[in-house]
Amino acid sequence: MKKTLIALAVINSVTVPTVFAQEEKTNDNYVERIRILGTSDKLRTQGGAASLISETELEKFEFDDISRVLSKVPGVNIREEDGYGLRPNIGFRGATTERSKKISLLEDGVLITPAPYSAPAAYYFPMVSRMAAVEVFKGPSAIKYGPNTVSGALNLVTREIPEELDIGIDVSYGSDNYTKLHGFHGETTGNLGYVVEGLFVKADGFKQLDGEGIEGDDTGFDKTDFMAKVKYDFSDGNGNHFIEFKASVADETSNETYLGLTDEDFNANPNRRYAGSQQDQMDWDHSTLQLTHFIQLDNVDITTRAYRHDFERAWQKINGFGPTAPNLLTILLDPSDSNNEYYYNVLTGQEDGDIVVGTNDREYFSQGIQTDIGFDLKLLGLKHDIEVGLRYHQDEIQRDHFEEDYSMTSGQMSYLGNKRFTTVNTEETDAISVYLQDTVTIDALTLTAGVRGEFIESRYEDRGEGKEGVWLEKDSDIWLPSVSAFYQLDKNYGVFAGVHQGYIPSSPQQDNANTDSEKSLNYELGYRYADGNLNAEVVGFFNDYENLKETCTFSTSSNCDLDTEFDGGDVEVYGIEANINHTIKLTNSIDLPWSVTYTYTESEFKNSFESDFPQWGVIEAGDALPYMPENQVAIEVGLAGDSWSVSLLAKYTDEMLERSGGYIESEQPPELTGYTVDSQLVLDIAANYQFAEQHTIYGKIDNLTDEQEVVSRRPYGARPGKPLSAMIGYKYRF
Amino acid sequence: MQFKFKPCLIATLISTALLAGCGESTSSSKGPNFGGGDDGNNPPPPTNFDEKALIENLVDNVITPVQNQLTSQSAVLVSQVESLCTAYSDGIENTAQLDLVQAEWRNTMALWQQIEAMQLEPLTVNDSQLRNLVYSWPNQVSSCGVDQDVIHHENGNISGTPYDISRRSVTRRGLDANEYLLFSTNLDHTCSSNSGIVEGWNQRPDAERRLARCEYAITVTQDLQANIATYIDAWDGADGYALKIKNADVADNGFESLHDAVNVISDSLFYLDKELKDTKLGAPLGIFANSCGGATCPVDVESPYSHNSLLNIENNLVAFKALFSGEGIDAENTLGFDDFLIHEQDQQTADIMLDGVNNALISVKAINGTLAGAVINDNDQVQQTYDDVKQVSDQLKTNFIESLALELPKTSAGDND
Repeated sequence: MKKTLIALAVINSVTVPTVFAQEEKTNDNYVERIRILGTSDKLRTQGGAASLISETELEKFEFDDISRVLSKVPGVNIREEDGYGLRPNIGFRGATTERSKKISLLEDGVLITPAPYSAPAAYYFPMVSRMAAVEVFKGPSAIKYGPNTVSGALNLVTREIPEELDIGIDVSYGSDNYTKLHGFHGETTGNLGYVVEGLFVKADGFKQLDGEGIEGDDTGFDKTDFMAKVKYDFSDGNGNHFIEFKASVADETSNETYLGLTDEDFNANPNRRYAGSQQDQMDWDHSTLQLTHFIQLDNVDITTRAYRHDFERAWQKINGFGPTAPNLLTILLDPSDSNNEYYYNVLTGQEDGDIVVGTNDREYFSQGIQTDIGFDLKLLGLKHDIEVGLRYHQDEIQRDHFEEDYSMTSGQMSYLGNKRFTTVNTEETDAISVYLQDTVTIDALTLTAGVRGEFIESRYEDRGEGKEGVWLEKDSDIWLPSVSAFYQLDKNYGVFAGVHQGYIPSSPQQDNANTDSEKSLNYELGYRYADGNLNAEVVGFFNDYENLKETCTFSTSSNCDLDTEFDGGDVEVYGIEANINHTIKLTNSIDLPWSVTYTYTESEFKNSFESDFPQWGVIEAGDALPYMPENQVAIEVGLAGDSWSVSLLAKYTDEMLERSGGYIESEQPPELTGYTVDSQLVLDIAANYQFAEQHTIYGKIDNLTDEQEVVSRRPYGARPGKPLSAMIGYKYRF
Repeated sequence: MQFKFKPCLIATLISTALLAGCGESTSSSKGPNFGGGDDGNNPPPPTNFDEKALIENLVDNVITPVQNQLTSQSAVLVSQVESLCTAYSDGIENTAQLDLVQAEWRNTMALWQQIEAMQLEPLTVNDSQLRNLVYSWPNQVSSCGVDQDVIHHENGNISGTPYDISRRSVTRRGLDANEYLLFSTNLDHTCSSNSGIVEGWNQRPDAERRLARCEYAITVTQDLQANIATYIDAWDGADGYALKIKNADVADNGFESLHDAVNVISDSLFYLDKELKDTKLGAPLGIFANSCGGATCPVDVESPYSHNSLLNIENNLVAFKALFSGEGIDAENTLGFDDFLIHEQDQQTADIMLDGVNNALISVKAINGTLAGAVINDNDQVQQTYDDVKQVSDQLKTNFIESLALELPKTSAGDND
């Protein structure tokens, strides 16, 4: 049987987890520095759980939302927010999902979070629609990608410069005027190669604002992203010595809000948005400049990257009704309470009143230079594969948050003024990171030992009027070891185990005398199988936190002081991750690829304590962490012919706690005590048909059953996942 | 920021690390005002001042007597409003009785404004739920909401459900709703739309509308009386907060120490800073954010219908002075924060604060007319009052806290001076 590109792609794309070893056409060592995992069908003999979602897998469902992309990766927990995944909340193995701040987020192997050390919340997240691959590292394999080593790393791989002329065009249209325009072009001529890529995505939004014809009644977004890469090869095209320059700019305008609904209103219409959120809008711009140098010298390869990222964002959104009024979540949890009724009426435009709208204006930069060196050496008769890395990094966040008053009159908000600054500060960090990793193979045993060093100097300063002398400077040094082993029992399978130190630095404004950094010891034990057709991995993990740490953000709650960090003490998170994928040949021309991904997670606080962190409250030893489903299952089944394919993806997520503990009536509001996010099952279906050699049409339906459950009640009330939405598209590939 | 990374060789670092394991070392230096000037880690130095006696005097001699007066005053107000309504129901527009009712409302408000300036539990718990039931300022009273409830109350039901004021919003209840009902001279409704429950209201005879408002005022006043009774019971009952705070040194009583309880009382003094200085004076003067884009703003004064703002401020200052000086109904016992300061060798701060509050009292009494008018016509005098209050609040936030080893209330962290 001679399969078409699509058929081959579908079969090869089922690559979660990566049980494969490295095998690439271009210089393997370079690829390994930017795309750590390969796509060979050999058994991967490195310890540490890792997963790869290839370009063809990404194209299969045409997801723009990274949380949907990651649904087939075991050990990933996600808290949805806006339904489109504009600001994803991703955690691995039980780490807090909040703005993906506890994972190391990378693009082409370089930290991409706006300020990874000073403010790790990922308010900027690269558009997954233009990525060529997504990689996930957990366990000891994450030690190379700090500073956050508690849970793991997520690497987004951009399009590589093609060796031959390559042109792609992708247009699609769907529900709520969803529109995507995507194109790229690249080629290599002689020593010079380039690629340019542009992506535009927009939608009008699936939520409906109260009232008709009011200003800003569109609840959607538009995002634009351009990238260009130029590469000059000094080694006559064999990829052994080159420099590459990457530049990209991106922007987003989205009429997004933190305001949700009361449960009663949600049940009546989950897609309703109260009139009080009509002024809410996020606006950001991002730019990247990156210069890469690579050289291969005999058995040594050296990759050096200098990078600079700038990010500016201003999110204007309803903050509440002023300091003496109940907060928005309290109002929405009990709108008929005599204290809350008036505010609820103003929020919904039924009564007139004043509303406080806040704009969280922030400016970030992140820059640095890093070198990764790989070489082999023989020592005591054993071959050592050694990797060494050094990075000098600086980042900074400047916050200029302010509030203004608006008047709600007959359901329409109008500007009153009274601009006053609420948070005006700067956090900055200089950090040197080093890692050393040595891999030794002794017969069937592959042993890897590594250590990471983080040397961090940070400064916080309050720039507010009259705040002279409010500053803090900190030095933190830490070494983070890891050890892992893989024992190959047979050509196609083996077992592995590992242990590594997890670490998350405290923010520059947290005095370490009061709040510790987060540390953990993470263990894993697994089994891996790969025969080219059936691939499977089962991993048990145990994360023993010495001090689980949380931070108050606007997205967490309105009931804590912004940016305050909280200590949760000893916490254990443990569970099982399993994944199997296989392709059944139904006929000579039709295959049935299928996969099952399962994650079981348990967690418990080891101590009893009272916390002001709204997601914890009064904790009894044994209480579980919030927003952590016990069971998650994703099943994908497809059919693939020579020129067509159909895939169905079912994702089940168990119920999740909105708050771990209780509350003390006289000291705290009961905020979401006893509330859960219900379990949910989401079905997505996608199909494509290659009607000519270079032409493909595709279509998909997300949330086939159109069931909309509450995905979270934080920060201000119940919000839904995306309803049934359909789209069709056309692709041209030269 | 200057960084001094040590010029160690990476290899040396790594090999050292492998031998040394995974320790973390941290060090920090901080500005003099970081963390409010105190990182909160150091327990306050012990004092041999009799903090228990201080608490007992402030509770028994200063706070509780005002509450007792308020209880009896609220009953007087109910009675007078009922008399007014009886006259209205007989078709008499009794202006003398209305004057009497308004005077009793001012008397009630005077006592409440003193309690405002010394708020403790149970008023402060659950986002000040109980306090807001009595008085929800600075949340604006919903005059349209009150107008709607006058009609709901007259009808006896809302959409078929019997009218129950205890289920209604705080902005339709309490002293502020009562102020609108008893002082507003415009009988038309104030809703922006003439539809819904208020439709047809403006066309009804004045006598009918006056009576409907008055009868709602009875219900509001009775509700006020009930909420004050709830407050007094939670304060003075067998398990009340008064007993609890006086026994702050008893184990498992909700306080870490007597000093902790003193800190709770000192927190209430900060009403003078945030509410009195910034909101009652600063906003109308245009010093702080207001509805007029930062200009002088008469519409932002408290008690706009009764023009009672200056009396409110005066009573706030009276209460602050009593709490600070310990001067209550028992002239023999005047143990207060001033004595505590003197004991801690800070006579100067005690004197500045007492002088400041006395000056502020003189200044506020010297303002001509209403506060709304004075911010335009007698601005200097209002500014003088503000400056006098600021003199006290500046001391409160610095020397007072420091000398007595107390902590700033959390709500003062975002100070906007």
